[in-house]
Amino acid sequence: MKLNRLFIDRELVARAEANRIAQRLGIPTQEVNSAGEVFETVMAASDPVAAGKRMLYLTANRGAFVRDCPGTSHYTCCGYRILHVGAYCSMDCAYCILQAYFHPPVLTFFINTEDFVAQIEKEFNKDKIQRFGTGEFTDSLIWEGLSSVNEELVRLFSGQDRCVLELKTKTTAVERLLSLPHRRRTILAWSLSSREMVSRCERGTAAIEARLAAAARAAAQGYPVAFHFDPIVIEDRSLPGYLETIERIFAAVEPANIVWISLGALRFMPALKAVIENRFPGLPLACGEFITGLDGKLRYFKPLRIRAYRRMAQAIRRRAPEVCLYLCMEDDEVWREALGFVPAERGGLVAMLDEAAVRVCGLKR
Amino acid sequence: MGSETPIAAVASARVPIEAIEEDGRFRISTGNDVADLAASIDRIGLLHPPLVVRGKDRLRLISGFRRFAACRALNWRELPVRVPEKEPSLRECALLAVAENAWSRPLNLIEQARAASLLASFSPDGRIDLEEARAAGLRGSGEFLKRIAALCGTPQAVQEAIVDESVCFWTACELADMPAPEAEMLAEVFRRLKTGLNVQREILTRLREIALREGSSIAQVLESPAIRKIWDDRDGDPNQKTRALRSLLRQRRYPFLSAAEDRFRALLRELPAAAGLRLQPPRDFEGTRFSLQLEFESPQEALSLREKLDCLLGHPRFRDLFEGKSRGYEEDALSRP
Ligand code: SF4
Repeated sequence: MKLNRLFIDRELVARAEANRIAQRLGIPTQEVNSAGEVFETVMAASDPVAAGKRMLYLTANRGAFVRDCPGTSHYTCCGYRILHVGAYCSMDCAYCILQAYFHPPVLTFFINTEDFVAQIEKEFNKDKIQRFGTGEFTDSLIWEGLSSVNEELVRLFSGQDRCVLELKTKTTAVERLLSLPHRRRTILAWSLSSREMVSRCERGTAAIEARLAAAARAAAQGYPVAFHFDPIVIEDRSLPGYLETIERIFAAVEPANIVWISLGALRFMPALKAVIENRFPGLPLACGEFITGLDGKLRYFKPLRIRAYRRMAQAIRRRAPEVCLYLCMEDDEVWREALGFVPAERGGLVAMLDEAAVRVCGLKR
Repeated sequence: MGSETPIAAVASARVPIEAIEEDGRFRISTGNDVADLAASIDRIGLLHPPLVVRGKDRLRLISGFRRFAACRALNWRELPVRVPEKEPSLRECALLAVAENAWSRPLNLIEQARAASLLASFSPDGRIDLEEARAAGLRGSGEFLKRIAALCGTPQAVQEAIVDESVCFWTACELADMPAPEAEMLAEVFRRLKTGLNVQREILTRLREIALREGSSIAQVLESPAIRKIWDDRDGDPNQKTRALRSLLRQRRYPFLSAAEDRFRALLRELPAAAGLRLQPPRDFEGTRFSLQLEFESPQEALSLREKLDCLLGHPRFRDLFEGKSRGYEEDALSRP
């Protein structure tokens, strides 16, 4: 993480975690009374979206650490639960929805860990299988080297049998996690794409080969792993690159260690279009054949999504017929046309994923 | 520049017309045709003498370029002029030129652009002093004046299209950021189509996105034969040309969606036609709900629609609407739009 400025909430400056992070970073630090002061600084930059990636704001999460995935009724949601440990990202992907999600976007990390632990432990006491992840509002592993939040989470989850944690990343920062006693209750997951898309659209992320090498090391240490092709960019001749990545997955990792693989075509709120056009001029990302989906997001025309999913699913199934393969935020028609079944035939997507977690991670019902 | 020392205190004089030279930097008005003005001056006289300042050895004209040209066309030897009593700086000359124009008539976009650019060019930091601009009759935020000043850099053909209102302000600003040949070409297209802002915005956005996706330029897209044929037709009805161009651009921007719409229409044609029944697909074929609208004016008409509806629902091709083939999910439909 290349940061040039640290902001700390005045009431948290005495905290050991704040001091540790400030010392590790060794960059100019400013105490602030409110988030507004940080936002003002970010907004004063010519490119606030980029500026927010170079400044870190240490604060307390005064709301819920555990949230439901913001799915919509029109498309099938995976029922994943979000652990809100921090926000935004130091890497810079053209299609990142976080660019338009936060106003303004600023790298934020919550240091009121005790509240966080208490909320998660409450969830452990519920009598049901649950899947949690920190990779919805940030990349899970960018915080490695700065904080021990992941270490703490891995330990927490290893002490129970009903919940699984998914740490999703585009980095290779697994080193510290490898030797932890995880008991397979933590899934290390990578967002994947084609090599071409990485070089065109993802600034500062690890190369596909490096991500898969990290996945292989994680799997060798007994970690269950997962992969997410999300977002899939559909352009003329973009599919072979994704198919090549699929081949690379199975060259690196045994299918038995893979909990699930998801497919999700690029979709975004209309506000992101202008951000992409301004920040990544010359990139035809927003020029795909997008229509307005039932949730108001721009999505590729349905038959194009179906074709991409169909081909990728065929390639995955050829190599790993047992692996749980699912679509992110799609309707039954797409499921049927692309995968040949609808989730309801297998108890629903939530049940499918819970079952995969039980099978591969050893959760107990 | 304090308000206690007004710069516009002027004295009147009569000077030989040869003693005056035009200083084009101060020209605001875009009109070049002076025949009407000359006729008026010839009959009524010159009501408002041009403004000149003393130069090294001649007088420099800073406002009243059309009046000056009209009097010259009338072969006047002498011209009544107004001369500031105190010698103004170049910046003050700019302010005088803008104020003379802006307070006497509404300025078109290029005249506003010239006025803004004139004020910027003589300000020490290149930025327009908003208070000063307002005093000179030029309104708008700093951002607006900056954007409008940039129009001065557009090619002549673009400026002409802006003046004759073939090109809207938003479009003009977009053209100002483009390479000159491309901007000229687009100005010509909009001149021939005579469309409003929304359509200009749609056309420009589509062209830009098609060019970006195809790895070409807007000019290349406009030059493609089917598109060129539409906008290059000098005689056709502008509305028809606009419709044809929009439809072609949509097809090229959304080839698979357009093909699906064509397939849907073709399928509808195979179904029994029924006046009063309207079958609509899901919007953009994204959802799965079709809608059927029934229009009638009397109970008898409603009853007759029932029969037509039965006929439609019972038709063997009706079910095809709900299957992958008609919706474009088949591999052959996906390999080419
Ligand atoms: S790695 Fe993920 S969170 Fe970070 S910029 Fe890319 S898409 Fe956004």
